[in-house]
Parts: sequence; structure tokens; C-alpha cells
Amino acid sequence: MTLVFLMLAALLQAPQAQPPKEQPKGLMPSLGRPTKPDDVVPLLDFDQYFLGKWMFTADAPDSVLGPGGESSGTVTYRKLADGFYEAVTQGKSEAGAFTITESIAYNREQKVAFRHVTDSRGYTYAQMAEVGGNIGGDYRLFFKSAPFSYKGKQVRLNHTVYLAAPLTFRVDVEVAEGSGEFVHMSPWRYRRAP
Amino acid sequence: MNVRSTVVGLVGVVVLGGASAVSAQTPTFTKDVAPILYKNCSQCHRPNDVAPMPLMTYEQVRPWARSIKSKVLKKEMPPWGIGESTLKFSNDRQMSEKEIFTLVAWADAGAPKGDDRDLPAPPEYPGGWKFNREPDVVIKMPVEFTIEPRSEYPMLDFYVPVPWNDGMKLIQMSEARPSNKAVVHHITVSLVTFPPGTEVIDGQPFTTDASGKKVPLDRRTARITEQKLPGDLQIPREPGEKPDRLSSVGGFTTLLAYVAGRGFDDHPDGVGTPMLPGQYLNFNMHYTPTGRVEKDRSEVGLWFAKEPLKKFHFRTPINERQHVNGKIVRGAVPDAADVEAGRVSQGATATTISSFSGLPPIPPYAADFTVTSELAITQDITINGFYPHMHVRGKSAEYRVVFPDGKEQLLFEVPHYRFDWQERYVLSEALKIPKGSLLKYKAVFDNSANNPLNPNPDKEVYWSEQSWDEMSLGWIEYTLDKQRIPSRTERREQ
Repeated sequence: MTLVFLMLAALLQAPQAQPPKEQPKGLMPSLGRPTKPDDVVPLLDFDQYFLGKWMFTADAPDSVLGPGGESSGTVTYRKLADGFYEAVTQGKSEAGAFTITESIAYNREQKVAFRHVTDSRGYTYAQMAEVGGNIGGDYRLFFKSAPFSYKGKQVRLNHTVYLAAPLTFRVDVEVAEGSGEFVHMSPWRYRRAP
Repeated sequence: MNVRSTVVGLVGVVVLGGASAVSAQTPTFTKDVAPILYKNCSQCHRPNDVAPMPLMTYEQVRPWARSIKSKVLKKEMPPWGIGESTLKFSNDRQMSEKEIFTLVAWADAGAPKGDDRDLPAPPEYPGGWKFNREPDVVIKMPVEFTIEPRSEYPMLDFYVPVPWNDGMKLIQMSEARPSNKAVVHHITVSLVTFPPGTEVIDGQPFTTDASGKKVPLDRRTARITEQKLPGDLQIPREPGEKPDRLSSVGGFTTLLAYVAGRGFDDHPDGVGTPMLPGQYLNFNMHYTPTGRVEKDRSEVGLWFAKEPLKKFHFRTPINERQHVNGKIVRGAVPDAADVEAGRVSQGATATTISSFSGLPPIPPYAADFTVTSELAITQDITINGFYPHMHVRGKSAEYRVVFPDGKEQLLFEVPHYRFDWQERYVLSEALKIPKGSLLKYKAVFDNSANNPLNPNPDKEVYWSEQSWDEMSLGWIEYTLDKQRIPSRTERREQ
């Protein structure tokens, strides 16, 4: 018994062979020189950027969608087929746990995305997005929703996704009630899970 | 006692004190919270300003109560970058512990409104401008510009003639406002003088070539020279003294710069930028494409200094001698000769200076790339403000001075530089820097993947005004001790 324990302890203390970890890479093309105005902006590679697990935090105000407050959790992007993805968010907030399920379609050549979103807090909506970027690897997805109903009110949601860095992105959320103006909700901030 | 322990302690007192104590001590919006927000937050958190949500009325503030508590406890808001410092700043908007406690206690109590009669008058921003009165003059870009989806835009210049003809005005305050903040990386507003015969069409200067054909003007000739200033406004010089880096005309032809976190400049009474009939206002625009079609027509508001006029407002970056990670990379460039010869254009001073920099690229994944710059002080100056400028790899900044007796003093440090909130630090008391001193500016860049704003840690980073490249500019704002603008009477006599 003692021998087994000592062997286990020795194994635990021995340096573990770790595969070399690949350093994160940005979306900017490798030019080997400063950028120029006539450089061609590559199309966003959704797979390279999003696939995998991310952690998020948010700190929202009270709104037509319910009480605000801090929330956190994870979202996992999974590829279903070429150009089709699923994202599942598992979050918790002061009001309890919630799940957001997204079915996403991305047409790389047309620079558009579509998603159908079901939020366990009681609403479902569809959004389309223009997808744009610049030569610096700074891409954005401008999602706009069709009006949808929530607790008897008509709501619209805009999400602007800023791909700031290989390990972080930010989603700015705007909400409008009825035909009213869009109101800013504080951003959701994402960091790639280790 | 820190803020958290203060809050815990006071919450305990409130709980133990029972319901009557809660009602007596609970802060309300109208009486306690609104004055704090009006003083510290409203300049940005008001309709159509830089902050994404206004915080002026109870209805606007209440939904954010918990978020406000979180932000002020972490000291993320109001934003302020100064760490260790031997100076005091007039635009320091840090909240006191008492103010933070009041906001936290109010949020914890359910964000009560209170009695409307307690509500102080909200601060007024006539016309939406940051100052308490509308500008004397508002100048818009001559055209609305369309930003197409494309890789990048070079710096673009748009020119508007100075809209008065009754002599020099000293611009004491100015504010630049983009009409589309999503695409405007920067606006630099400066003054140029075109050669005779120049025609400006839709904001672009043209000249006539030898064949009589109208051709775009070479903008390197678009500049103001000191000789164009009326004699009584020229910088006083000793016999044989030539303009140097600190006193050349290039130092006082830039009005202001707009970037995230700044865009309004104010100077001490009687100090400002001279603006003359016949000059053109140059909107130097840096647009960053978003990937969709966008439009912008920025504008600038100007407030004139009142008599007595005292001095010109100068600014220059500290970048005569630069070291990278302790190794010198260049000598003194650009100098006054570059400015006077027009090799540094007045419309794009920062651009040209940075393109002259000769700094090596920042290597991939480098976490502490350090650029140290120096500026020899060749005449007595008085510093009124500072503006450190980097892009998304900017990590920290530090200003120091070595006095003629060799004594070195830390002026201030910015331990956590923020590209998304670039502050101009304005001194409460002006700082005298005698001739023979040396100013030092240290900028540290983080090109590692741990930098949450770094888009491309795997790439070498070059030096340019594109936000994915870098800049290392430690600006100072100052006046020349030897300058005195003649009084109105004296100017009339001449």
C-alpha cells in the first residue's frame, strides 16, 4: 500500500510532458509589411474564430426583458455543417440559471449571417447580420432582429459583435420596445475558455 | 479604511439600527445621487454624447443602479488613468469614498427616487456642447464623407476657410464632434495657409499648373509660416536666434484632437491658438471602416479668448531621442527645420512625425516593448497639460523631468493605459520647466495574447496612425515664458 502511494506521489511530482501550446493568432493576413488602402480584406473565417468554448460576463440594466444585474457563464460554438453552427449559452444571473440556444447560418462569400435564438427566459427571435471588417483583423457582425413579442410587448434586439482579439470579443446589445428608440444595454464580454 | 469595509460597516449599522434608521439614512436619487452624477458623470452620460447611455434623470439612472454600484466600487467609472503622481489635475474626476459609498448604499436600498423638491437643477449643455455656453463659431466639414467597406483609409484632409475677416482670434476652447462615432478614429483640427492662387473646391485645394490646368495642390506647401503672422504677434527671439523645436510655428497651429475619451480642449484664460482670416481650418480625418457603408460629417466648435490675450498654446510630442528596450534607435528628428521647411505638414503633424520615427516593429507576442523618448528643453516653458497617445497595444505610460541641477522627478504614471478612453491630463497648477531641463516619456506596449484589445499578437506591429499599428507620442501642452501678446491697445497702435 505504502509502495503504491509512493509511486503515485512520484508520478504526480514528475514533470508532466505537455504538448506545446499553440499561440493564439489574429485574423489579420500575414503581409510582412504595413497595410495599404488597396489591400484586400479576407472574408471572416467563422470556424477559425468562434468554434470552441468561451466564458462571458455581463452587467445589464433593468429593461423590457426583465431585471438586469450581473450574469456570467459559458457559450460553446459547434459546427453542424459547412456554414451552419450551433451556439449554446449556459448562464446564471441573480434571477437564476438560463440557457440560450442559437442556430447560426453564415454565408462567407455574401458576408451575411442569420441566427435563430431561443432564450429560456421566455423569448425567441431571429436576426440577420451584415458581416464586415478591415485589414487590421477587426471584424464586426451587425445583428438586427425582427420584432418579437415578450409578455405582451413588441421588442426588437440589436447585437453588434466586435471581434476584438483572438481570445476576447464583445457584444453590444440594444433593445427597443414597440416603435421606440433603441436603448443601450451594457456589453457582454467574452474570453476564450482555457 | 477602504471603500468596501466602509460599505460593509455602514450596511451593518443600517441593519442593526432598524427600519427607522434605514429610512433616515438611505440615500435618494433626488437628494444624494443626482448631485454626484451631475458633477462626475453627466459630461459624457447625456443624450447624444460619447457614453452609450444617459444618466441624467431618475428614469434613465434607476435601471443601471446595480451596474453603477459595481463600476464605482471597482473604480472602473468614472475613468481616470493617473497612478503615482507628483502633480494635481483639474480634470481629475475620481469620486471620493463618501460619493462611492452613497451610490452603493443607494443601489443596495433598491434605488429609491426621493422627493422631487430635493432634485438640483441639472447641468446645462447648450446645443449639446461640453461647455456651458454655445460656441462663438461652429465649423462643419465641407462635405459629408462616405466610408465604404474596404481595407483601410489613409488620413484624409478637408479644408474650410476661416469664416471671419476682422483680425486674429485666439481660440481658448474648442470641441470636435463626429456625426458618426463608429467610424471616426481621430479628428485632428489644425490651421494651414495655402499659397496664393489656391482654389478650394469641396474642401480640396487646387492650383493651376503651367499649362493652365487645374491640378490638386501638393499639400506639403500648405502651411503657415511665422512670417505670415502680424509682426506684433511673432514669437520674440534674441538676435540671431532661430525657431527651435519648442518655439517653431508648428507648435501652435493645431487646435485639438478628437479620439475616444477626448475631443474638447480648454486652456487658461488668455491662452489659445491664433486663428487668422485667410487661413484654412484643416479637418484631418482618420476613418476606420466597419465593413458596411457609413457616413460622417464632423464639426468643430470654437470659443474665443477674451482680452487680455496672453500667450499662444503650444504642443509637441516628446520624441527627440528615442530608445527601444534601452537601446537608442534615433537622434533628433524631426526638428524645427523640418517644420519650417514644410517637411512636417501642419495638417498631419502627428502622422508625419510618427512616420519619421524609425522605430523597429514590435515583435510578435512581446509583452513589454518599451520606448523611451526625450526632449531637451531649450527655453523656459510652462506646461499646462499632457496627452499620452498609443493604440491598442498601449500598456502604460510615464512622464519624468530632469532639472538642470540633475534632480529627476516623476511627474506622473498611467499604469493601465486605455486605448478606448484616452485622457488629456490638465494641470491644476501650471508646471514651470526651466531651460536646460530634459523631459522623458516612457511608453510600454503589450503585443501578447493576454492583451484583451490586441487583434493580432502573432504579427509584427508597425508604426502608423492605423489603429492596428502603433504610435508612441507623449505630448506636452505649454506656453513660452518669454511670449507676451500685446494688449488690444498696443496692437491697435501698431
